[in-house]
Amino acid sequence: MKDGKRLRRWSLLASAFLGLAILVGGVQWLNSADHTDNPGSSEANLDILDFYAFSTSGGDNLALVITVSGFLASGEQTNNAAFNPNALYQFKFSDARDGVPDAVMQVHFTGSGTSQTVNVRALSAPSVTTATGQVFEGTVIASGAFNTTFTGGGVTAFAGPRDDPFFLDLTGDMSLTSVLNAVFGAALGTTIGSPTEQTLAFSNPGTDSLAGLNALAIVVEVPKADIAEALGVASDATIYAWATTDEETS
Amino acid sequence: MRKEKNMRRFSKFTILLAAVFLLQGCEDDAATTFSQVDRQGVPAVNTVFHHPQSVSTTDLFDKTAYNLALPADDVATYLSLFTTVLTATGNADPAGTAAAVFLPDVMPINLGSTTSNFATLDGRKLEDDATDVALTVAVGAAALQSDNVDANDKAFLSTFPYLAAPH
Repeated sequence: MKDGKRLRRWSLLASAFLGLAILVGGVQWLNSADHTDNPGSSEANLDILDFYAFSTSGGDNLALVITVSGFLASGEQTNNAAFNPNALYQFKFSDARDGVPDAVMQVHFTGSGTSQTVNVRALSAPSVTTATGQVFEGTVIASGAFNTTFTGGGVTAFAGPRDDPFFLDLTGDMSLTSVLNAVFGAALGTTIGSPTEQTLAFSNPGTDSLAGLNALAIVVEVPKADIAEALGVASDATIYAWATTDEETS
Repeated sequence: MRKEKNMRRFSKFTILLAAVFLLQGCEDDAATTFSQVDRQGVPAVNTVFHHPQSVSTTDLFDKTAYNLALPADDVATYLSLFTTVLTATGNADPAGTAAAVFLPDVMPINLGSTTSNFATLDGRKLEDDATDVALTVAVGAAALQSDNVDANDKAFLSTFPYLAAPH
């Protein structure tokens, strides 16, 4: 009888352990599963809207920005109003115009929704420069909560919802899309796009299609001296940068 | 007795299952690998070449393939296509423009500058009218070089994080 009780307790403990393990491991299985039917950039929070890089602090620092998850309405909280925890968001730098990264700075996320933790890794020479098989590079130098500003390792960082900083007349009649449809269509002797979006003129004034809309933004401010050092170039050199999003494959 | 045996068996199985799930959950950093799904260097490529609404047979090019590609391969893969398109749209120096502005799709940044400006191919700041700059580069007709939206709907901040608060 005593043995039976102990066993029962033991079973209960084991079941609780299983429950916890399913929570930790199972969530990843579920996430991986819905990724497989979407090769490419199907997830809104992996779709890069814009990449910015601009001088700040009198030219001492470079602010780097990636925006994803476009067209979020005010107050909108959907699955895509958080960053992808199974991905890297990367700033890549080269000392030459050859498209080969000589240094990368990675940002990645743990957790889900607005309780995500943001991790920024140190600028470092990447061990992998191909599109596939990329790995974590550098150590985590700064971590902070979603939608807060935090610092560490010389960088200041933020990741969370902001006003979408881009502005353009994107869709509909006499928009960028309709003009480019018409220009490229005429130039290439074919019809591109829908019949209602074909014009060889812009509205004046135009309509800002992104007015009132938000996006998710990653902003990292880095001393230029650190970038120059990582690339092994002079402090007034011209460098070449781009941003990537990279989804977990294993 | 039989009940106890069954229970013991159940416990063993449960623990084994738990261990498998935990192993799955606690992935080793070093073992995790990632594949590129999107990329951007200069906004011009995105603004000009990605925006015509493609229909099945008239894609300018495969956007997904472009997003998955490395900038290191851009010139080999896309220079001739971009040159053809820019020739057709009336650019004065199609091959030169394609190579100087669009390909490889990387953003030049002069570390010695105190300011940034996409129009001079030196970084890109929030205020830059990337659409107009891209149209000016890509489209010959002067009347088609501005979408007449010249500024953001909210003022940018002078301090970090620079982007305006959400709506």
